[in-house]
Amino acid sequence: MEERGEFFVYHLERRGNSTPPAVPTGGIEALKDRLSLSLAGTKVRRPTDHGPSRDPLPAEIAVEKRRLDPGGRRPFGFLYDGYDLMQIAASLLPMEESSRAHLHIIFTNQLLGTREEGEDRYHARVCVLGSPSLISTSGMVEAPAKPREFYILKRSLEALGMGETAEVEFAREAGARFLDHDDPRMEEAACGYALQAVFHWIGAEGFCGDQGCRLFNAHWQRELLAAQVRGPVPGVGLAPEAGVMPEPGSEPGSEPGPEPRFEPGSEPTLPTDVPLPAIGLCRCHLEQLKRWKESAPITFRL
Amino acid sequence: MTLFHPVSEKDVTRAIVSGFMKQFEQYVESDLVIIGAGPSGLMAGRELALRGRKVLIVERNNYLGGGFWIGGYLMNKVTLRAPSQEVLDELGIPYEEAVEGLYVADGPHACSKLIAAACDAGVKFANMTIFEDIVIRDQRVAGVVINWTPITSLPRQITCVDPVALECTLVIDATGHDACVVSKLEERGMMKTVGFGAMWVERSEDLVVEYTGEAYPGLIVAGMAVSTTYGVPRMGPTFGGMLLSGKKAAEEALKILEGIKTA
Repeated sequence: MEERGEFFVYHLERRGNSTPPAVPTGGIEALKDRLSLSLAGTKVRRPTDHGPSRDPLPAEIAVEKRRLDPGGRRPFGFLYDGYDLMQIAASLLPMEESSRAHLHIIFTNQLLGTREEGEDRYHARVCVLGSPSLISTSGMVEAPAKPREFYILKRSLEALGMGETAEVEFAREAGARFLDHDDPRMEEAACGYALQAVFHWIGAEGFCGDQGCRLFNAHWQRELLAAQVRGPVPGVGLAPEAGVMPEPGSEPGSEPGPEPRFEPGSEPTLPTDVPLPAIGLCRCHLEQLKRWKESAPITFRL
Repeated sequence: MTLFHPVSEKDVTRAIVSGFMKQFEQYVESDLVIIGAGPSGLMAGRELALRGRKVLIVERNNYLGGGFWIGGYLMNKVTLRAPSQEVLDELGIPYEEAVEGLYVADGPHACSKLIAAACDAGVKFANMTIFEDIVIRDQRVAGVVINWTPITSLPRQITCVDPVALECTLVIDATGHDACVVSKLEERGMMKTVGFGAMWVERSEDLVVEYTGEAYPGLIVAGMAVSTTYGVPRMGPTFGGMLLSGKKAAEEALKILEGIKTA
């Protein structure tokens, strides 16, 4: 596994430093111009839009170009079309890394969204799986819905112009119930989403219907926390002994807890007062992973 | 014997008229005209004037400060998030930490100090003055057309008051959500705006600061006008973002002015 710096900065430098430089006529600046135009054109203006803007303002292009510089700040808040962004990123990958033998996972703080067939609007996503796969850290906070009372409180206090203080207070009191920006639990959650990318890469379904599995596609923060963050987990990764999810009640000293209740479209009520099982993959996906590792002896670590 | 020196009414009138006219004539041409005397406009004006630039701020109201006097629910406490408390330190505005990273200050104290800081730096004001139009020269914004605010509240048929124009090297649109200058350019088909952005995130102060800059040759957008121009997600009364956006607008303006000077 190779950990690299910011994706676009890394590949721009790589292209510029290769012999001969892998850049279009006009050099690295021309490549940056092309990229910044494309990136600005992937911004989604409104949730109900049918696609990204494609017609960015000059200043939006200029901002994207500045963001291609090393060390530049990249505040988030705009929604980028996840599939478009994936295509732009893929266009920068060198030929030798574009095969199935390589898995690229891009962690970004930018918000990603997709509008799937049959959907009437864009939805923010934590990850967009493909080649490369994109995982959004801001998406972990913003995409899965927070507890209902957060929105009720926020709306009522915003009407009084007190949204800011209320948000901070609420986050402090109820922070354990949802991920916030710079949340220390985010790193652990990111591992689970990286696993989804791995499963997609090996040709399996990237998501799982089991709420206790790392591959569960969470729509609520409580689901995300239940699937990805359940307390101290030594050596989170693909090792079977760490990855297995024990049967209810099989954890030492734990009693079988009530089954989580979930009705489509409503916030799940997961038990919070019982010991939750160790984090990991469900048995079905663990077996799938084992089979794949046997057929493709690749040393893999997260 | 009276406490105050005796002066005639005509002397008072003469002092007002000559003082106003002298300044008005001087500022018919300036380095920068800032439209809007809210926190971002005042901050930008102060920074630029401190660096020796000739700055005029046009404000449609009689009072300066925009919404910086009060926070939510007409309560006169304003909140700012780190690191914008550094601006409060710079201006000598007292504040307290409400929770970690969130600071609260007295609106009247903060606002009056900011206004005073802009005045002390040398900013001049045309209050009770509305922005009506832009002056375009060589494909650049090169000035603004202004008029008295009160004429807007009089019946149209009796207010055929022609405006006047001011020339400048740069204009800063700090008119808040209205983005008056940007909207005028859009009305003329000279630029596009995105309009209010969708509420993707809970706040987006960082984006407002990042997107503060030249939106059209000769026009810099600052403060909440940035939101309207680029569709930055809406946010609450976050004054820190306004102050830092004002600072960034000044930095961008200085770069452009230096570029024009060396060209």
